[in-house]
Amino acid sequence: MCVINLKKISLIVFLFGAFQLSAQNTEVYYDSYDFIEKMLVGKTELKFKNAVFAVEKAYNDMLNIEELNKEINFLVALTNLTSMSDIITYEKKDKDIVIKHAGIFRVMCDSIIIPLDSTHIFIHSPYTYDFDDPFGQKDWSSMFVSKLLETGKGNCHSLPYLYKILADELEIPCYLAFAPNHIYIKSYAESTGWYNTELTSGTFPVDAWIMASGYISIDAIRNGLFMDTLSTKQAIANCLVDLAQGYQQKFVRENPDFVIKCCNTALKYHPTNVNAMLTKAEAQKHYIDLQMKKQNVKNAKDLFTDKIIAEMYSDMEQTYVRLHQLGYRRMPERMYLEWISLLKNEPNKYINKSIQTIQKK
Amino acid sequence: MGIKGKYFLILAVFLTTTNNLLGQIPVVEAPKPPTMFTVPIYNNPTPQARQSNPFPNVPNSNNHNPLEMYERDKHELQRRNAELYKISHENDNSNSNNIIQYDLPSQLGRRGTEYYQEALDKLSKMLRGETPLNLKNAVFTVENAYFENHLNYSNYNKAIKYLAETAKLQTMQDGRNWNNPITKNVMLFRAMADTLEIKVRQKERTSVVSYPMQYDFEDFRGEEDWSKMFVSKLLFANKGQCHSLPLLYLILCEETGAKANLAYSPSHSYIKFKDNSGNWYNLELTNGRIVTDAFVVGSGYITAEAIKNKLYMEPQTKRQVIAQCISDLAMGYRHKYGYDSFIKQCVDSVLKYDPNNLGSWMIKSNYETQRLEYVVNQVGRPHPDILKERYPKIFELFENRNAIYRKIDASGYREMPKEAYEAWLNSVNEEKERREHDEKYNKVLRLVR
Repeated sequence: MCVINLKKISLIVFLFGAFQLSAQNTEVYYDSYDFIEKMLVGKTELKFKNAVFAVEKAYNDMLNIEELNKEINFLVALTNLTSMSDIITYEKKDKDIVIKHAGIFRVMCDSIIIPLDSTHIFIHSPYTYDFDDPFGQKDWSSMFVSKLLETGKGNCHSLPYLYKILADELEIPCYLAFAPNHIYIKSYAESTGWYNTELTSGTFPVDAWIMASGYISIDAIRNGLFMDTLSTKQAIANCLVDLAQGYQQKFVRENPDFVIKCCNTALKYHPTNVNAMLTKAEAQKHYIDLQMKKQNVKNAKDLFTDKIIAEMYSDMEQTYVRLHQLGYRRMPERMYLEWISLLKNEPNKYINKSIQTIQKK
Repeated sequence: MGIKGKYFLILAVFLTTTNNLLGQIPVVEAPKPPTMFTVPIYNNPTPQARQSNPFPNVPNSNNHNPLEMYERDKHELQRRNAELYKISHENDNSNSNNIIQYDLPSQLGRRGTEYYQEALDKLSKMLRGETPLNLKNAVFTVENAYFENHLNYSNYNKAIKYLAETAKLQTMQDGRNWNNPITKNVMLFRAMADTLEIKVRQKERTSVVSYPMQYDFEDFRGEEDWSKMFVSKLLFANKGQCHSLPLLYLILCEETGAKANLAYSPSHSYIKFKDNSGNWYNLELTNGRIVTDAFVVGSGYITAEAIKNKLYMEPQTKRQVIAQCISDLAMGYRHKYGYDSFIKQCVDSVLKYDPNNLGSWMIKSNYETQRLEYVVNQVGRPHPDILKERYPKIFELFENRNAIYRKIDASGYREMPKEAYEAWLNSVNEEKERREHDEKYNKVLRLVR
């Protein structure tokens, strides 16, 4: 018997691209910025997929977007195929939408086996969580959808992004939502109301799980910092934060202008985007610290003769104050992994039972 | 033995007179309020009332669920509808030409309803700002309407003053400053949740012991006897549930000039207060604990939407709590007379002042369902498509009812099964929660100056 694994097809592209970069490529970043901003101001169609690939292309200019689109189209076709067989029992008005969601979930979290003829079967394996480098510290491209498509391994950034891209292609509503250091999927079904899809573990956790991280204050929820749905426009605006973070990874952080520009635009369309606020304030802090070292002063106020620094400092301070007021608390990375594993350790408490019963095993 | 016997007698009278109110045709006889609150007076100590607890200790496995009252309503509704349906079906052919009644038959001619009208007027005046917002009076008004004006205000008032006095005397006995608002918060909590022993002046070796209020496991949802939910019942029996206990605490705060807020969680309510450094404390009066937000959320039935829409965990203003009293009034009316437009009048006035009041939305949805069933039965329960075509006005009622259900769903409300509620409230006894309580309780005691 012969098994075809489609993921291998575009694997080679990535291996060569990543490390031969130089400072000249900042221009690519400005191009990607313009590309995304055009969507936000309404000059071009809002398309999350294109924004994501623009961000990844900026980091890795060897990326073959055509290939990626092909791969996405293939996954869409596979989802459609999966949705046609009766994978779930659900009989409400929004049946068509819910079944497609189930299809995407199946494609991403389960093996799909399709007999091709008497001697060939086609297997599509599930995407898995990358425990080696969940925060992209070793290699920033671990955060990327393109990396996920190539290696079949992703994290809480690339997995929900891929889900959202597939849902957009299938034209069904699907929303990204933030938790501390985390992104997950929120969807609406008539029978259950809002429900969460957690792709890092392939489960449907209840809201209490996200709150159990311990770093979500009630105020943070009230103010829409966490656990609120992002519109497609806000999700695209968030791509600018990804762009800024990729830029920081690739180039030395001496000049914060580009990062600040990205974050400010993101905040214009999504004023409570917690990542944008943090990324911006941290870039400013880093820059001011650097200047203090350079000029050998101990107090930041000594630099305020430079008006730009004075303004930057007060902007940074305001952002931190605002973050605190909105209810943001910093979550240590160790806590993050402990929290993610709660779903495995205490499934009875945190898994949405009403959905587990809908999903056929 | 004397006092014990008296207590049981009162209870027995109480139960026998009111437990048939839930019957399909409510008995018109006025329910009798508890006729006496045994309140000891400190100058002339007769400490018998609180010295011995007339009720046996019940193991701590409790549950209570006011929101489930609404769930129960649904079943009651279904039962009634089935009957209505039967009746209307019998007359199906003869009825078809009659004029359709679009409103449920009014109960307002029946005995005792006038007290409800009066009570609604009184509470509405408070909400409109024509009279001062006074929770003690508001709660009394609601409960007195149920007892058709037979509740004794002076006894009710005395019992409240007694508790406030207990907290105050204990504070002074401990050499603390009663005028500090946070001290009041903590000491009132202790008066309700702790055993306090107050020495009587001039009489050495004599003291009055105040025992913690207990959770009432018997008919805690007021199914058989709605007055079980009442603060007046809590005052005379020293036992209550998550409806009456937090309300009494708020009344005590009002009485002594302390500040605290009510907050809701699924099928539950509890107290929040803030210390001078801005930290919030959650008082869980059903078991005398101080709990974390994580515990409240841990029920698993609080969604992000519900928090964002301020359904749960949001400190309620006094005006909101008094608006909620109108919702309680509507529930009492429903228990005595069933659904009619008075209920709608009540919930609409609540929602006018507090558009996020979940309880009122639930009552409203039940009212609209009952009304729809009543109207639809008159035309022989046709399919909605036929309704739309032939009875557009009824179809509008149908759409309207569905819109309310959708609104409740979208607000983030999730039905919490009774078992889940029980398990959650019990989880307060888990090691982790116990530690949290001890830590917070000690912290809170240090706030007492």
